[in-house]
This record gives sequence, structure tokens and C-alpha cells, in this order.
Amino acid sequence: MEQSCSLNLTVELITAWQDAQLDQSAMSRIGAHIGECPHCQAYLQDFAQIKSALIAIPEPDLRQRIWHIVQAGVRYPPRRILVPAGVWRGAISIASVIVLITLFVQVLHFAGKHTKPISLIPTATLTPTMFPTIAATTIPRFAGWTPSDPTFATSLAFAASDHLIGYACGIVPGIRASTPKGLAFIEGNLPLGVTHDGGTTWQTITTTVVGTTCGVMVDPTDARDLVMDYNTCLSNCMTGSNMGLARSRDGGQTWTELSLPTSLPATAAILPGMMAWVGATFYVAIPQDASSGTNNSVILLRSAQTDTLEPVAVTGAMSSIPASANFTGVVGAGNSLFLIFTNALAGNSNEFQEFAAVTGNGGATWTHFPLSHNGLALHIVNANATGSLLFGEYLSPDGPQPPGLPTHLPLLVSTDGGYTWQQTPTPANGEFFLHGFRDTPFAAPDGTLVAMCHIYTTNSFGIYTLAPGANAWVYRAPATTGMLMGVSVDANGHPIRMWGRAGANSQDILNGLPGLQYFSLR
Amino acid sequence: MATFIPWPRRRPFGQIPHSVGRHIGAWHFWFAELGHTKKDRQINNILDASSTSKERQFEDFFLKYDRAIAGYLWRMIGDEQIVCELSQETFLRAWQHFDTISDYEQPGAWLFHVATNLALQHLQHRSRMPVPLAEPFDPASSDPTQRFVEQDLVHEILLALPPKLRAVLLLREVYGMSCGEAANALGMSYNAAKMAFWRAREQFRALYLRKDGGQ
Repeated sequence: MEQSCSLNLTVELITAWQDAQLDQSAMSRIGAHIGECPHCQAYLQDFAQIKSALIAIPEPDLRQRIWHIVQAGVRYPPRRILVPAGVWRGAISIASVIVLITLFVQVLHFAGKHTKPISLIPTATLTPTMFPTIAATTIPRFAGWTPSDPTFATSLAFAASDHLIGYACGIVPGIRASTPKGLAFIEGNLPLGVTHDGGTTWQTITTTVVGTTCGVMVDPTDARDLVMDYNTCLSNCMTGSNMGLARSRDGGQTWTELSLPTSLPATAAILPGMMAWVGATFYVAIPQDASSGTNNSVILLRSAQTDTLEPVAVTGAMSSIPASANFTGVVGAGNSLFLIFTNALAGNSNEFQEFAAVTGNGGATWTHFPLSHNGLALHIVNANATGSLLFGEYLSPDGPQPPGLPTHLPLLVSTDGGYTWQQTPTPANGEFFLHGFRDTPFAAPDGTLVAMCHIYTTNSFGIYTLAPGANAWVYRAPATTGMLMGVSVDANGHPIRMWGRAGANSQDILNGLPGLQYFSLR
Repeated sequence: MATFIPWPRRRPFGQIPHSVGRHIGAWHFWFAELGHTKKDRQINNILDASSTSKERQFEDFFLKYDRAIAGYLWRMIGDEQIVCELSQETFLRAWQHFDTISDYEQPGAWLFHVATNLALQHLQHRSRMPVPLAEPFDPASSDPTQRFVEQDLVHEILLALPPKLRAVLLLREVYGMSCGEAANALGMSYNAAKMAFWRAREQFRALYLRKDGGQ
């Protein structure tokens, strides 16, 4: 076009003319030229057209979505420490240094005083190429768990001694969304899904255990030995007598009630994460008062050779655990049993100091030590069979999360039985949900971590792996489960399949739609 | 003590039997989608009577500029989720400095400056990000938001321009900024902004004519 224009006007000159940034004579000269030159007019017309096209690009209405977060930030600003100027600032600096030195001395004190409760097995030779492919497979709902009788697996466990054998515990058919506050369940004979081929096909056993909901855990040394914890109430039954335990030693065909002591206080409860196997011994830890936020009294019971629950005394320096600490969970790892306590730091209800009481000899002697992770709320969610890796989560140190703001729950890893912790990186725009399930996230013997992450920018889920020594999680596969439930492992502790509940969203779950989904790690 | 109770005693839905809660895990997570329906409430109801006057002023400020900022970022990036995030970040920063900004003659310019920086940072970062090993699953079935626009030829061409040229073109043509204002928003010199604008216009026009003619 320019070639055909007598003045050979360029975009620079035309723009300058449009912006009226030329001197008077140039303005009028170019104006006159444009009035005559069809090429320059076409050029200007193009620009005008581009301008209106740019303006006309359709915009999505994102106002509510943006405001949803912004107003939360306005309402719940991140906590700031306000330090007054002058003398006070100096005084506070000195005080901080003193506090830090004190803490350091304390750490040395503990490090010297306590021996490690478990002997750690060295991690295998690192093979970061593990899990060359990760693919999801969905198992349809089991026969008998039909759409007209909506039910779903609430819990899943594979035998560590035989990875082909697994169990899935269900809700009694007839779950219904009833009240705006929650779900009501129907009481009946609890269904148990059983597989003998690693989860490819399942059969349903209707057990003699009567309840509304249940969970299942398998003896790591015997694939036919399992314990079911169950609930007998319809709703609103977090504590009290609406709970029970039953043990089957024949793969779920017959069940024996593990009778709880009659002396249990009414406030006691069997709570999530408070049961564990150590070898063939099943442990359940029952907080005396599950409704109170400040009670570290715990009743530890075990069922070993017989189908009875016998008390285990937690002895030793319990005094080193503050009386105000909560009992938050129990973890079995190798030969060790960890009881975890967490204590809110004084004057700060959102930062915690954690303590562990550990026994490596069935409760004969106990060791106590603080988990050194500087005041962030943490609980151990998983320990692999060797006891060499433990996981925890912590909550953002920024205090209570404003509603609507994503929470960041980086994974902490300890490879020395809980003495020291390392924070793993968090996937961009993602957060780990560590609540609820044993074995997920999972650590392979070589130290490779496998976890599911919620990617909040797309509200979707993915399976991520973190190779030993790597500094970033790698996205490996999409997950539509939204909830992982367990991992089947081979005799060497290598994961084979990571299991979750299949269902694209919460509504699917409420509609009783899902079956199971597994991620092949081989 | 109104304390935060760590899991497993944290029971946002106390009515749910604990052994169900155990296996379904984080209830807040399952109900997150249901909770999101709250966002449909009118904005004016969200900041309620207990809002301070500063919060109310900020709400007005937000309502005045949010469409422009989100529209700008949408044109820059073309990804709803990212646009939401960056807009949120822009306004959260604005809230942090609201006392200062509200005295400015043109608080919008400050917003555009922040939004531009965030967008350029994002685009730079995105170009460095490693490619995931597996393709995300079919977004049409799982993710209601179409991640990248394809339907709009103009937008497609725009997204093909280098980020800085894209920014200067938008700031000048769509948001009516002068060359100096655009230079400020982009943190570049007046002359650099001027040249960027020329190049943006030329490149866009060339692509536009080519694509338009090709169809």
C-alpha cells in the first residue's frame, strides 16, 4: 500500500497525526494528503476497524468470582505483626533473640536426651524413573450395589501381605440426602466388597455386622484378618456409644464384636485416624473426651491374639506433653506406634506445637519427643511400612483461612521417624488434601511420593509425583475421583495401584453414583 | 476457647457420623461446589452492615474498575481462571494500598499498572513452564470453563502478539490511554511505548489482513 502512496506515509506518521503530535504545518500537510489518498484512508480505516474489533471482544462476566475472593481478603487481611518504633522496636528485637536462643537450646536438649524410637531402614537406591505411566481405570459399582439402591464404598483397604486381596466397606443401601445439614443413613447389615484379583473384580458380602456406615482395615501380616469400625446411629453421632468394632479372621465371612470397655466415658469416641495395625496387633486410641478441644487423656486399647480389647498403658514422660494438648491421631509404622498430640501455642489459636509418644515394643516403654516444625498445625497421615517416611500437613501460618480463599497445605516429610521435617514444594495453583485416608499420599520405598492434588484454578484433581531430591511435583494424570482411599502394595512395599472413589463431583457422590477408580502405578 | 481444632476434631459438619466423615474425608471439600452458589448473592449483601466505611468505599472502587481490569486481563490472557486470579491479586493489592490510591487523581492508572505487571509476569512464567507429562483430561466434560478462547478471530490474533505489544495496543485502543499513560502502565519510556504501539498496530494489522483474507 505504502508504495502506492505519494507521501509514503508510515504507521509512525499516521499515528502521530492521529495523536496530533506533529507541528502545525505537518499536521495540515498530512491531513490534506489523507483527504486525497485512498490508500492512506484505507490504512486509517483498518486501524479504526481493529480498534472497534478489539473493543468488541466479548468479555466473560467474572465480577462475582473476583469479588468473592477480594471481599474475603478485605474482610480477613493477612495477619501482620505491628512493631512500634523506637525503644520498643529494640526491646522486641532483643527479646526475639533471647527467645530464639532459648528455643535452640531446647532443641539441643531434646535431641540429646531422646534416642530414636525406631531403627530406620535405609531408603532403597533412588529410582526416580518409577511410575513410568500412571493411568486411571474405573471399576463400576459392584454387583448388588445398584443405582436404585445407591450406596458407595466408604473405605478401602488392601492386604499388605497379599496385594491381590482387598476389601471395600460400604454404606447400607438407602443413603439419602435428607436434611440441609447433612445426610441420614439407613441401618442394616453392612456390605463388604471383596476382591481376590487386585481389585479388577469384586464380590459383595452382606456381613452380619449391623450399622449405618463403616470402615475397614486389614492386618498387614494376614490378608484374611480384618477389623471393621462401624456406626450404628443415623445422624449426629460423633461421640458416645454409637460406635463399634468387629474383627473377622476369615476374610469377612464371620465377625466377632470387639467389645469396648463399659467404663468408657460418654464423651469418648472412635474417631478418624485413631486406629492402626502394628504387625498383627490392632490398636485403637480413644480420646476420653472427644468433644473437648483440650484433653490429652487417651485410652489405648489393642486386640492381638484374642478378639478382645485390652488396655495399654501410655507411660513415661507424659508430663512433657502439655495437659492442654489435643490427642489427634495414631500411626503404625514398622514396629512402632505413634500417638500424636498437638497443643495450641499460647495466645495463638492457630499455631501448634506437636508432640509424639512412641513405642517400639508394644507399649512396654514409651519415648516422648516434640515434632520440630515450628508451630504449624500438623498431623501425621501416613507412614510407610519401613517407618522411614512419615507425612504431615501443615496449615498456612497466616492464620484462619478466609472463606473462599484457597488454603495451602504443603506436604511435610520426615524420613527419620518424625524428628526432622522437610517441606515439599506445592504444585502451582494446587493444594493437597491429606485428610482422612491412610496411605495417601504414598511414599514408595525409594522415596518417590505419590499424591493427589486439588488444582483450584480449574477445580480439578491430578495425580502428582515427586521424585526423591526433585524440587517440583510433576503432574502425571487427571483424577476424577476427588478422594483417594488407599494403595495396594507388593511384598517389597512398592505401590501397585492407588485407589479412589470414582465420581466427577460431590453431586455424584451424593447421588450414590460412584464406583471405584484406581491409578495404575506400574 | 474458640480454638481452631486440628483434624480430626475439626468438624465443620457435626451432624455427619464420624465414621462416614472419616472415609469421605474433608467434607468442606465435597461441599465446596455447593458453597460456591453463595457467590451468586448480590455483592452489596456480602459486605454487610458491619463493614467499615473504608470497606464500602473500596467496594465502590471495585465496582467502578473491575470490569475494565478483568476485561483488560481477559484480552491479555484469554483464560478465565487466570484472569480471575490476576484480577483478584490486583484488587487485593489495591486494598493494601487503598489509603494512598484513593487519593490519586487516576486510581485506574495504578490498577492498570499492577494488572499489566501481573499479566506480563504470568505470560513470561507460563512460557517457561514445563509441559505436563500427560494431557489434562477432556476439559469439556470436566471443566465448565473453556480455558482458551478460539471462537474469536480477533482475540486469537491479539493473543498471538508479543505480550508487551498486546498490552500497549489494548491500553491505547481499548482503554483510551495516551502514549504517556500506557508507558507508565508498562513501566517503559515514552519512546519505547510509542514504538511498541507502532509495532503492535502493524503486526496486528498484518495478521488480521492475512487471517481475514485467508478465510
